[in-house]
Amino acid sequence: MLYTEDLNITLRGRAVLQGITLSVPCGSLVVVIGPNGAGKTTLLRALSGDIRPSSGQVSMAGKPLAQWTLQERAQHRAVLEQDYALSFPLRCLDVVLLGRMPHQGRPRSPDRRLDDLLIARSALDAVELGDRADDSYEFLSGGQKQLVQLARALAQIWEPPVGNNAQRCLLLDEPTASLDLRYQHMILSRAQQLAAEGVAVLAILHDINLAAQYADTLILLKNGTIVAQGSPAHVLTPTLIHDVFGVSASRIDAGERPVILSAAASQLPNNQTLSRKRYAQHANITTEHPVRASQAKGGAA
Amino acid sequence: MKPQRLTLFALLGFCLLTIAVSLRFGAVQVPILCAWSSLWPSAASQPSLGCPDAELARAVLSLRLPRVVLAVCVGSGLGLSGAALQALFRNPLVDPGLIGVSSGAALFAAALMVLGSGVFCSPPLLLFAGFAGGLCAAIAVQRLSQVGGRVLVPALILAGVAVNAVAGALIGLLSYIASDAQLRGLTFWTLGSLGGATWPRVLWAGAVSLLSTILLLRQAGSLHILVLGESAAAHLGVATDSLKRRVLLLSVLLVASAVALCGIVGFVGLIVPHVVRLIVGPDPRRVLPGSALLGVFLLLWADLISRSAVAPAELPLGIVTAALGSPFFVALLLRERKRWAT
Repeated sequence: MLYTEDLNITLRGRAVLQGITLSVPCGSLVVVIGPNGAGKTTLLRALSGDIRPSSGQVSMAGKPLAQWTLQERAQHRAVLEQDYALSFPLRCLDVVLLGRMPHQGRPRSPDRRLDDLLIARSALDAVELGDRADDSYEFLSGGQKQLVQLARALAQIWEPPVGNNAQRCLLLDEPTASLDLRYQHMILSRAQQLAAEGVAVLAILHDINLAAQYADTLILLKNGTIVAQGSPAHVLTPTLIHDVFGVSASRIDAGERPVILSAAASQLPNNQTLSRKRYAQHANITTEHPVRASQAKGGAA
Repeated sequence: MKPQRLTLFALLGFCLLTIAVSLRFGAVQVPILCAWSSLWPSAASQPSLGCPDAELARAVLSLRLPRVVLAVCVGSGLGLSGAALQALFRNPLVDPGLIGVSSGAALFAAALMVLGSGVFCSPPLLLFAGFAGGLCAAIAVQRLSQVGGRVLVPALILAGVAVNAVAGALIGLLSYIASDAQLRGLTFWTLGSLGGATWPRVLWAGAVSLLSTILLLRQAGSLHILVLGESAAAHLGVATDSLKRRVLLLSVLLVASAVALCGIVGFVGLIVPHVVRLIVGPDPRRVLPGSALLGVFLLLWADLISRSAVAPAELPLGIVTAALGSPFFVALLLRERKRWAT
């Protein structure tokens, strides 16, 4: 399980996250939503250990993240980010096999190698790209690339790691971004299924309804703080959605999981070019033409 | 056995064959049996083993053999460091010459040769000067091309151009103030040559490249993960910062020892990894050893050409590798151009 307590992160002098306390228990799917720039990706990067917290702590499986070696972390948790560009052309299967690298001890036995291959193939099958295993990753569509990367992350935590600590975590940064409707549901069903197997899963989503449909716990983030946290029915109220996203919304309750109908944004700035006067107020400068102003001064002198 | 691994073993076989051929041919033709038997001093003293006289066997042992060993060290070092740097910078067009490591090493070694008196030109000191120069150049280029922890490739190329220009100008200045005798040595050396192979030099080079080669080959798995990018590599358990430091240091060590001992030999570090990637695929765990082997192969043949083409005189080695390398570089450009256009 992943756990943070009073986490603060300051980047380039700006407080990006403030007082974040949350937990992602094993066996549950936690979804983070919030407007652009709310600090969602920063939160994910803090949980994965990419960014050190300015204060507060992140811990995984009861041990502070700083006490894990990078390799141990990689054996227990996988991360799916948004964009991956390969520097050299690889086959899809080779990309997925990269996910098994943290588990390779020395020396590698032929058995181990075969296991890794089987896991990689199964992971590709799990995202329905089993028949593209030998194709070059370069020539896939954007959505398919994303799926191959998901398969890579799945392969990384395919089985509980050996040893006395068998916890697994999965962090997903907008996994559905470039995918069609069917694949969106497929990815989130996979995430749900992994959670059912005991993996702690945290995903960032933009689609409120997908979040409502799949999340066990929903975390609503705004300006770097947690606004609300709890079950989808508890968090997704029209008032809260209006407060956080500035969008008027109505809600249809269908069993435990609500459906949100959102309308146009309540307040949009007018689509007008700034007048000189307002621009001057904005930028705190004089509206006089600089050259003419100096000429006038010179003339007076 | 996998076909790719078979290719590596085939390459190893070709290298051994080329070594045999290299000992056999040159300014003086040596019967093959004699060339090989000269490796065992006790056997070499017996003319019955194919040697017309013991003098010839001694010549092979003290002149031709160190040259071949030096070619093996330099060839494997250049090929390997090229492959490692390409994986590290995540760019297939990186080459120790392009990013200024070679000319930086050359500058420092040349400065020692011209400014220091003869006493200072011992193999370990030259090696150290070359290493210091290569490291300075590599660090300068990396600093100049890095923004927020990411290496920007256009800036990298431009920084390499800048470092090469500065080093080139200073080497020019050194040759301007050098005496006639120093100038001859300097010119020959900036064009690259294996001619200066003596046993003490070769042993130094051999020790350095053997150690660096072993340490660098151990990084191949981590370099393979780096194909996904730095943050993804960190998520897969690679300490990217220390990996970068280690690979850069070891590559510079290999290149600098090559430059310090036989001058600037261009294009080997660029073309060899490319050819190897065409044969065994992009995985550094195979590309790194493959590049070391193909580097040896290429350099031995280039050296054979350089000492046979105009025998008994010698063509500078750098001219041969450049003549072989530049058409290949153009072909590479034409091929990569299509990929960039899409």
